[in-house]
Amino acid sequence: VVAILLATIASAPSIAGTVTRTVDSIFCHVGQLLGAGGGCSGGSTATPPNKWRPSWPCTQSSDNGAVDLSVTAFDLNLGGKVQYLEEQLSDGRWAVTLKVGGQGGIKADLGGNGQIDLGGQSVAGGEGVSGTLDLTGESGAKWYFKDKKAADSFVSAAESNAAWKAGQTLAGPAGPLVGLVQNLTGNDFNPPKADEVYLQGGLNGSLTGSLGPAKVTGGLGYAQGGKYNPKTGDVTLYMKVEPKVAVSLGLPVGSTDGSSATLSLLLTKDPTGHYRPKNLTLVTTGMISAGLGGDGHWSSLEDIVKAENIPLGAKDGVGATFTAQLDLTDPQNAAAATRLVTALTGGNPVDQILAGKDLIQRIDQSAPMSLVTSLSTTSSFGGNVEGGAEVTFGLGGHVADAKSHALGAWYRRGGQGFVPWTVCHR
Amino acid sequence: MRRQLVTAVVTLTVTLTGAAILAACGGASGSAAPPAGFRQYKGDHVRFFYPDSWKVSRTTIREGPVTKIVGPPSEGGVVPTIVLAQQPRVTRTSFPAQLAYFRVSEDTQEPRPTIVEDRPTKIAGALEAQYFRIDQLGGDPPSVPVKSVYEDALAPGDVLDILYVYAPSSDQADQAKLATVVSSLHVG
Repeated sequence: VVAILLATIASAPSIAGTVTRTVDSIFCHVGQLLGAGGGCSGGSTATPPNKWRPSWPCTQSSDNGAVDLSVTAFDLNLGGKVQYLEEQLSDGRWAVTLKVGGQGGIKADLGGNGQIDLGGQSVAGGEGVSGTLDLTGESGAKWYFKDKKAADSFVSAAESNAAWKAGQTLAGPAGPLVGLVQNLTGNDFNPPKADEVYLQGGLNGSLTGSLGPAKVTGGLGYAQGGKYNPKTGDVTLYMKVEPKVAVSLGLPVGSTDGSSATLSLLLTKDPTGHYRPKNLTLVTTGMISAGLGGDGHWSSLEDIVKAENIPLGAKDGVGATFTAQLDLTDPQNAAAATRLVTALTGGNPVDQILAGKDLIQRIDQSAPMSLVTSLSTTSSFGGNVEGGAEVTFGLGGHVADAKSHALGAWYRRGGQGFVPWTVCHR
Repeated sequence: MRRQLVTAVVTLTVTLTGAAILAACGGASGSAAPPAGFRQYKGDHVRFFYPDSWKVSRTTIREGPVTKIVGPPSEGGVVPTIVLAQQPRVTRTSFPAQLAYFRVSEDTQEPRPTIVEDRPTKIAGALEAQYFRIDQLGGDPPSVPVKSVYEDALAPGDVLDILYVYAPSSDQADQAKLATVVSSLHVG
């Protein structure tokens, strides 16, 4: 993803006359009006649109073997499961994500919790309800529904799919995975066209870079994955930051197993049909212990980073998700993001730290950010319940049998710190 | 690291257009005897003809095997090249995303290659396939107009076969050879 990140970030169109806004005093007063507290140091009483409020929805709850936090980012290192997750989003929609992936077979278990957990080695070898399928592909899809009824209907259709339950051969002309996906995407219970399609890897994109006539390096070769919106053509490229590296950069990532940090670059088509960078989303996750999640006292990203020193553990079952989204149509932001990506892929720790701090500064100065804590019925947040450590999809890691709900949500207001993100609470 | 590949507007030759049309129509089966001066490359469920004097090498990019077949250097040192790559775990669901990926990849090079054609095509044995014709600059520094054909063929078994060929636009002889290569692709 290196070259594409760099190229796209660097090619962000300049915005003449970028306005530098002094927001501390403004939002201080807004915050007071809303009862969010905080002291005021300035005298402005203007009330511009709240640029700090996150534009992304949060996940209020999830069910049926879902990940326990939001799916703002995603991890495409699918390791051998087929799952769906159903989420209630703060913008009123419900989302259903289907993950299809497999390495060495997937066990089928359509148990009472609705978990779709297919397993086995062969398509035709299934026996009974927990029949077997050999799913070797790595892909996934997501649908958004206007309400719970529509989402439930979709899930019910999937659950009641006779072929799934019986473990029958679902193979289409290209194999069982295709057959399964076809069942999910139109041939069986006729769901709507997916809103997002996930994929892993980037060989396709890297070919022209690494083997092209101009000795180009990079391309998409470093991409861990991507997300494609078949309706708009938008592409999101995904790069995972190793937790140790993330910590060294000062990113607020947890230190427990399953903690994660991801960078996602959203590319949208301009009127001429060319892809342009829109934003860079940083998402970090980790377990937190009691006492951290309830007060939303952080005043800056620096302070969130300090949370790293708070003992982390799974005993409380509380996970935290930090999200920040940087506008890459701002040339300064684009430059900072470029430097970080360069450093992350260049392997120079010093450059990484410097670039990380630079990006944090940009985020701290201008990016909306949120922190959501949630409680799951399991403590295996971020980890992998049945197998390798990479069975995660969506943000927050996989839990095999869990229901979760948001405990608290905050977003950062410039000069004021984190204030309650009320829309996220039910 | 910023990529250095430079885009150029290159003239599409009649031969390559012919190859594209052939490819779009299904092309040769690949099972026939190779024409004079060609031999058949047989990979894992993929085959095509290539000039018998060109050199074959193999490597791996990420998890995918890559075969590279090169001819003698041409204009500006640009080496006429055939690349065959296979990417596992690509499904019908993720195939469109792979195409989008590729378009982004091309779109973000600086200067930008020009995708002259981007359309579905038919390749023998493929479940789905897409044909890209690309104009770009090659050489070091990139200054030689090069035209390329890039085909994605989704094969049974969730394998994406990628055929990528290029040669200087002015090199009519090699362009004609590459047209034969493209038209002979057979997957599955």
